[in-house]
Order: sequence, then C-alpha cells, then structure tokens
Amino acid sequence: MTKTLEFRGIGKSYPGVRALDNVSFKAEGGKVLALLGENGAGKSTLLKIMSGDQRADEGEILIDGEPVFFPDPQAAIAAGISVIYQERQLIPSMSVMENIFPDNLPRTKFGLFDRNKLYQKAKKIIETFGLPIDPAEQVGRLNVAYQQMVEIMKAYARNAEIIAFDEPTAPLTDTEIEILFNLIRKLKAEGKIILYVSHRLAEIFQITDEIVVLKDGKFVKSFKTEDTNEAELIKAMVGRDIGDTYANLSRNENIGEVILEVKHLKTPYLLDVSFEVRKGEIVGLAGLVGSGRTEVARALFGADPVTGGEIILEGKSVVFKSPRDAIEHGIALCPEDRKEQGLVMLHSIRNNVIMPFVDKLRKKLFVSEEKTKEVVADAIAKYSIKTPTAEKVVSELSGGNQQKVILGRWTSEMMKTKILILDEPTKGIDVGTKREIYQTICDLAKQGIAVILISSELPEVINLSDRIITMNNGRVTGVLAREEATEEKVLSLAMREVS
Amino acid sequence: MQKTSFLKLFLREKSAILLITLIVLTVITMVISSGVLDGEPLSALFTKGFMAKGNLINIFNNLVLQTVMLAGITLILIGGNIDLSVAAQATLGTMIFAWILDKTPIPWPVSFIICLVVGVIFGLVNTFLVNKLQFPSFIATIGMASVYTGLCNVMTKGYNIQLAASAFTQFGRTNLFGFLPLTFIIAIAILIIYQFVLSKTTFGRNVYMLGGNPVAARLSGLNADWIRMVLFINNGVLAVLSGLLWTAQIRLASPSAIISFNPNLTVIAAAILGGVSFMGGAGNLGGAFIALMLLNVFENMLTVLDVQPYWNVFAQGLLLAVALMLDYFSAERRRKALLRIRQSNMAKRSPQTTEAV
Repeated sequence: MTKTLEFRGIGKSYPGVRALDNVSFKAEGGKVLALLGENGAGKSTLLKIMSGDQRADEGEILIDGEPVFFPDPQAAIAAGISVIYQERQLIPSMSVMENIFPDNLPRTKFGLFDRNKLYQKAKKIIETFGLPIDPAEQVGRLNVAYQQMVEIMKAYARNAEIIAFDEPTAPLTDTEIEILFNLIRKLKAEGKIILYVSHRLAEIFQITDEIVVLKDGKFVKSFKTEDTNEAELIKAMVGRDIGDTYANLSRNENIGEVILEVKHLKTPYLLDVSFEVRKGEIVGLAGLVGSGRTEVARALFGADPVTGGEIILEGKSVVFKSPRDAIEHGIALCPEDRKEQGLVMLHSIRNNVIMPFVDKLRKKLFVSEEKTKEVVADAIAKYSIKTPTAEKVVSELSGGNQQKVILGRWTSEMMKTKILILDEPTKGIDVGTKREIYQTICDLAKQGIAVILISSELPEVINLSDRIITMNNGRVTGVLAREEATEEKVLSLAMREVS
Repeated sequence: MQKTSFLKLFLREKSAILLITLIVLTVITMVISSGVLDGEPLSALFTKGFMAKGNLINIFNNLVLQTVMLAGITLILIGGNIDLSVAAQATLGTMIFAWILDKTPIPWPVSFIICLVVGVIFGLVNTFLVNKLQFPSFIATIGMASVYTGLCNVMTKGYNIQLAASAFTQFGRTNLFGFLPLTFIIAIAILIIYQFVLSKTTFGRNVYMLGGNPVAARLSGLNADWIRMVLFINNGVLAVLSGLLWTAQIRLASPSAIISFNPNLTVIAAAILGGVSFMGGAGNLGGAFIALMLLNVFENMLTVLDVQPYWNVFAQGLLLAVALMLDYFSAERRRKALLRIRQSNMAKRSPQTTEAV
C-alpha cells in the first residue's frame, strides 16, 4: 500500500489575515508533489502546520487515512514528518554528526554521550548519500549546499516518510541543484512522500509529478506535471493570463556617456573586475552564487575595502571609505536582503524613505514636517505603493511594496542618485508585482540613472539589461549585448574559468 | 580536517593565554609580597605574603561561592540564556536557612535540604517567566533579583542572622593540610561534575544545540522548554548551595553581604572571558574557571600589595576591559588572516566548489 498524506479542510487565521482557507488535497508516496503559489498564497503556513510548529484552526491532517494531531514539532517528527525550511535549521557551532542526530544522540551502556558510535552512524548515512563530508566537521564551515545536504540526511536519519522542502534551491548553484535533485529522486524511489515548494517553474517541471496551486490561502487546482505547461500554471497562480512578463516594457532608447568606470577592482572578495556603465544604461551582473556579484555592489557602495584597482566616477578617481561616502557621491544600493539590510522593519514608510537624507530635511534644529510629507508622498505616488498612510509600518507591507519603499528612498529628489545598484530586486516578489518593478527600472534608466542589476534569475538579467557582464570566482568572464544574450551563452560564460 | 585542527588549536590557545597570564600574575605577586626583593630568604616565597597559609585560605574561600555559581551560570549561558538573579537567590537561600535555624528547632541538615528545594522553586519561577510568559531571561531575572533581595530585607528588616555553632559551621572552617578548605574541594568537585555533564552526556550536547540555534533545536525535536527548565532549576539549586557554603564559612546570613561584592557579574564576566559565548552554544567550564581564578588572584594581588581597597573595583574593571579588548583584537587579526587565506584560495578554486558567503 502506498503511503498517503491528506489535508482536509485546513484553515488558519492570523490577526487580520486569512492565511489558509479550507485547503484540501492528498499526496502519495513515491511521488513528488509541488506546492505552487505566489507569496502569501499560504504554502509556508501549510508547512508550519504539518511540522507541528503551528496549529491549524480548522481541518485535519490524515496519514494513511488516520487523523493525526501535532501539538508540537516533536509529535510531527514522531509521525515521520520532516520539513526542510528555507532558513537552515542547523546549529552552525556543532559538528555534522550532531546535526544529523540532534534529538537522538547515541549513548554508551553507562548512559553517556557516545561520540564514536555517533561518528560511525553519521558516516554510514553520509556514505549512503555518497557525499564528501567529514562527520566531525563543524556545520558552520560547510558551504550552503552541503549544509542543505546535512538537513536532508537529518530527515533521512530519523526515517522520515514525509519530507517537505521549502524553496530548497534558492541558495544553490546549478551543479548543487543537480546533487539535490538526485537525492530527492533517491528518496522518491524509496517510496517517501515529498512535498516541494518552489517559485522556480523550471525546477518544478524537472522534479515533480504533481502540482497543487494555492492562491490567497485557497486551493486553486491540482495538475499532473506531465499534462500541464508554464502558461497554465502561471494563470492558475495569478488568476489571470499575464503573458510574457518582459514583453512591451518601455525601455530607455538613448544611452548617454560613461558615468562609472571600474578598473581592475580588487577587494578581499574580488580578484579582478573591470567594466563601465553609461548614463541611462541598465547593466546586468550575472553569475552563480558566490561568483562575486554582490561583492561588486558592496565594493562600489563602500561596504568592503578596496585593496587594488580604481573606481572612476564621472572622470574622477574616487575611494569610498563608507556607504555614507558612496551615497554622497550619488550611489545607491538596494540590497539583496530587504528585511535585514534594506529596511528598518519596525518603522513607518515615512521613516524608511527619509532615512538617508533626514539631515537635508532639517529646518533649523528640527526636521521639517511639511518637506518630509511632500517627499514621502512623492515616493508613495511615484511607485503607487499600496498603503492607506505614510505612517504604516513597513513590516506590514508585501515584499513588492517594501521594495518600492526602498526605490522611493533612493530615487527621491533629495538624493540625486546617479547610479542605482539593485541586488536581487524581485527576490520573493510575486509575478504580478515583478512586472511593475521591471517597468520602474526601465523608467529610472529613462531619467538618466545608470542601473546595475544583479539577479539570479537569468531571464530577468537578459531581458532587462542593455549589457550583461558575467562573473565567476571574483573575476569578470565576459560581456554580452542584449541582442546576443541567451540563457545558454550567459551560463557558459558564467562558468568559464579565467585566470 | 585541516580546518578543524586549526580551530582546536585556537581554542587551546585562548585558555592557554589565560593560564599563562594567571601564572605570571601569581609569580609576580608571590615575589613582591614575600619580600624576597627586600632581602628576605628565598624560602619566604612559599611562606610569606601571597603563599602564606592565611592568604591561600582566603583566596580559596572567596572562590567557593563564585565557583559554584559559575557552574550554574555557565550552563545557562551555553544554553542561550542568562541569569542575573543568582546572587539574590543565594542570599535569600541563606536567609531562609539561617531563619529556620534561628526560629525553629529544625536541625540544620533538614533546613539545608529545605533550602535546596527553595532553589528548585527559584528555578521554576525563572522557567515560568521565560518558557511560558516568553520574557527574555535578561529581563525576567533582573526582575526576580529585585523581588528576592526585597524579600531578604523584609525577613529581618535588614539585620544579619548569626549562626550558632554546629557541625555545619565547623565544616565551613575545616581546612585540609592547613590551607585547603573543604568547601573549596566541594566547589571543585561540582565544577568537574558539570564539565563532565557538558561534554560527556547527551543532555550536555543538547544544551550546546539549544544555545547554538534555539529555533533549529526546537524544530529538530529537542524539547527546548524542558532543557531550559532543567538548566534554570539546576542554576537555582547551585545558587542556593553557593550561598549555603558561604554561610558555613562566615557563620552569618546577611541580606546584603553577597550582593555587595557582586559575584553575579564577576562570574558572568569570567565565563565570557573564559570563552563562553554570550550568545550561547560555545564554551566550557575549564576556561571559565581559569578566568575566574585570574580575576580573584588579581584582586588578591591588590590586597597583598597594599593597594587601597577603594581601587579594587576600578582595577578589576580595567583588567576585564583590557582582557576583552585583547580578545577583540585577536579575533580581528584572525578574521583578517582568514580573509587573506580566502583570497588566495579563491584564485585556485573551481566554480563547482565556490562557497556562498
């Protein structure tokens, strides 16, 4: 008999939000089921409920037809469920072996911690998966991909029959994704039930057998992966046919003179980076995770020390000692991690917008109320940020609107931004809002702002950028004009070895 | 493998630096305080000043209370919490103990056990505040510290309670070989037992996990609430025990004496100095104890060198600040060295093994 996991009428409310509403579907052993939906569709909430982290308000979960109840994570684990979250659930200061068996450390016959036995047990599992990891290695020292493998082994070690992955490929490079998929296929062949949550449609077609689409906490439809296509899924996800996301973008046609020149830039994280950016141009930086894309942004923004080479801004060689320095020279950065680095989550839209230029809003000793209102209202109107008031706390905004707040900040008339660096601007933003952000980026270019666009999504870089610079291992490996760029070309350049 | 041994080397180095500092400090104090420099015979090194029996007993006696507290607090810190009510718990424990002996015919061993049970209650109160009401332990324990201190004052209106002579007070003044107090031996035994628990039992490993990443520990099926409860109860019992050992030494229970020399902060400072992470998940009792001895020997050095006692607190603070700064600089140096290694590695690395930062 194949194993089954069934959700029946699951409902969950948070204050002010109906996160899940009467969600019912069934997953079977030996198959990979994809949970698909925009942000806020309720995928993560569902995972939290099945892992015992949170409790459903209504409905029940059935395993092999029997209703089960999880008051806490231990109960879910005992029932054979393991959820591998986006945020690594590992203890970085501990060894690999302790992380594989955290709740089940072996004991000697005197009841003491049996390190040798643990080492052997862990080694056996690592060998089953054929991975080159030392059981005694500290987890914090492994790279992200191997950390994830440790999580999978942890699930495997406790004989989990139901394993859920939440956006597992987000931090992984293509090669690493292949390793992950092989592991998932192995688990699938053993008859385990696998839930797979991801935004990346391509992956879903690669690895899953069935697809369940959620929208606004409701079950929309389920598909057999082989019988559907991308357009159909997107339609189900957004509830409308958005067509080609990149078609009909109104782009900037007149690109001006060179505004920024980077010559043989070297930092502790970069070996040799040279490129130039023109006024009104969108330059894409493409590369695998760890290639040095983000580090270029950090160096340009004065966040990392420059140890060699030169940054030439409007014909003058500049050295930025701090981000403040860079901001004063008209450079702005929308960081990859909005919540940690981009915004003060507990503060209002107003405070987040005026953050870098409060000084300029000063009238004698105090911040001018009128000027502030004007500037903030301007940002809200310019980007049509959906909010009743400028005083709304940004943590209550959707990801897309949060990104708009950051854009509103840097493109305010108070800033005089000449170069805007966007690091993963649409990360975690739903398909509909993405398109809005794309048009915004093009509009900024039209105003003569030079845009440096960093993104892991190749279609995004290829379709938006006027020129694409590929990087690998802290070096520039190639430059492509938009007309000649294809995903294959960009990828092969991004994996090229240059020394 | 190379990476692991590098880390181990560094960990050893840190305790080693503390140990060397401790030895150097001790030797300097011995030389100066014995008067060898002023023409006393060399044998005075081991008989006068620092090494005089009276002084050694003094140092060891002072260490007892702090060492027992250290065992409890280090575990709490490794588990990712903090307890600022230890000194207050110890004080209230001793007050109850003395009050029972003073006002009732209950014999001291029974009173002793009653007080350890009170320690369990202290632990349960903190557990309740942290686990159930979700207070940060910093806030919860500061609050409880005031409550306990207040209770002590209420009990005797601020007066001390003298202990009548008994086997208990006798025990507090017994020294082995004339210089090694029994209470100190008990404190060391406790230290060893708890280091054993930390490194050799599954519970100990779980404490590290909880401190290393509480969310992960919970979602990995560890019973985080239970571990925290055990740690707080253990800490409460050890706090009371430390107070009782102290009372045995000085035959007195005072509502303000223990708090007045602030052992709570000294012990936390020693733990951090000895390599226990303030964020939890790392450290051990060995390093913490060496650091604690260092702080104590330094204080004693000021006394035997006849530095005005008013300077004590200032000098101790200075030592701590300097030690923490040195720690910071060595961490910074290491970070820079790692960056350099990283850069030279990057030049060699193939894209398949490129690490994400």
